[in-house]
Amino acid sequence: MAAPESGDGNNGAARMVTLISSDNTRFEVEAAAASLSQTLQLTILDGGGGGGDGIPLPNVDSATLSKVLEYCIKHAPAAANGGAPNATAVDRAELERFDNEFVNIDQSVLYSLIMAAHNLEIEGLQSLVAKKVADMIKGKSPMEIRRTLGFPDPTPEEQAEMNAHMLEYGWAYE
Amino acid sequence: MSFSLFLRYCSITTHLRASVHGDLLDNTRDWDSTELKFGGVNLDLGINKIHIILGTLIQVLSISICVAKNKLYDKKLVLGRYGSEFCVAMSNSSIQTHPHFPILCSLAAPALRTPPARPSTQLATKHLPMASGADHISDLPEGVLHHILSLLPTHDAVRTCVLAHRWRDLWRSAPAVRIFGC
Repeated sequence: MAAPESGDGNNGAARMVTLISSDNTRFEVEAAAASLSQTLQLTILDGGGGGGDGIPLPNVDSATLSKVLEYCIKHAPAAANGGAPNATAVDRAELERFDNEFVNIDQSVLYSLIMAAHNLEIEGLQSLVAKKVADMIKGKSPMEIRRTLGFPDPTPEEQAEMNAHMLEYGWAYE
Repeated sequence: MSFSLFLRYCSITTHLRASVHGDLLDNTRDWDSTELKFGGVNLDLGINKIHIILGTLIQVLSISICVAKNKLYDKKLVLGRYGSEFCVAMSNSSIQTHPHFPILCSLAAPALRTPPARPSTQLATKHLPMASGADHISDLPEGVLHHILSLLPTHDAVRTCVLAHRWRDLWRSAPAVRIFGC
């Protein structure tokens, strides 16, 4: 990955920080990438995470953190360019392709990712994973949504509620 | 205060409050076909036109809106009813051409406010493991579910309300009007 442009960011082009997952795995990553997390950003700006210290992330396991960092590393250059006004169409297409591929994962992994993105406040990732779930819901009937998302089949009581809802909100089911 | 500053502020407080004052001009239009103007709108959010689509008229004199970290430029607002509450959807420029964009929210005008969500619902949210291991969509925090709903076209979002009690309570637990962005 190209070193972020020095300038209005923090000092140094490729400063590294260490993140420690809940299962004590250490990840060394460029500060610019980790700073996509608003949760981490302040700590990093304050000089945390460098040297032998590391920033512990008790809410994120190593498998998830590794995935999260994959996203951050990929997106950091564009973010450093302030939304990449000068990014080429090729760059954007490449990021889009990466994003699509990135969320093509098991639901359990997806939910772990959602939680991590939420806890770490990585805005782009939050949007990406939320959109993935939204896409899983979109255009489906309630029963299809239930099955897609792994809800158990409705109890008779729930079924009756669903029917009543469908009657009342017929427009939503057309 | 500029809007971007306002948003920065709201990322700290979670919600941004704005006010809409107005009267609903019509009460018997269908969701799909009607676009009505919302009188006396006072929103400093760059919203240039507001559409209201209501199943049932209820006089709304003052609605407060919470916006989660969000960009609200040039959006349209769509109001509708969900049960005893209102729904508000916002879209970028056209609901039809931007199916991802409607921002759904639950809105409770003071007079219409339903009782607060049952304590059990709130607890269920709070007791979520902060760990990254939610293994079911309903285990996700409320804010995340709201975010997901916000990305759905109105029709789809309403359909999710029949998924489970948890999802119904999502709307009821909204403290005020909430518009969740994408």
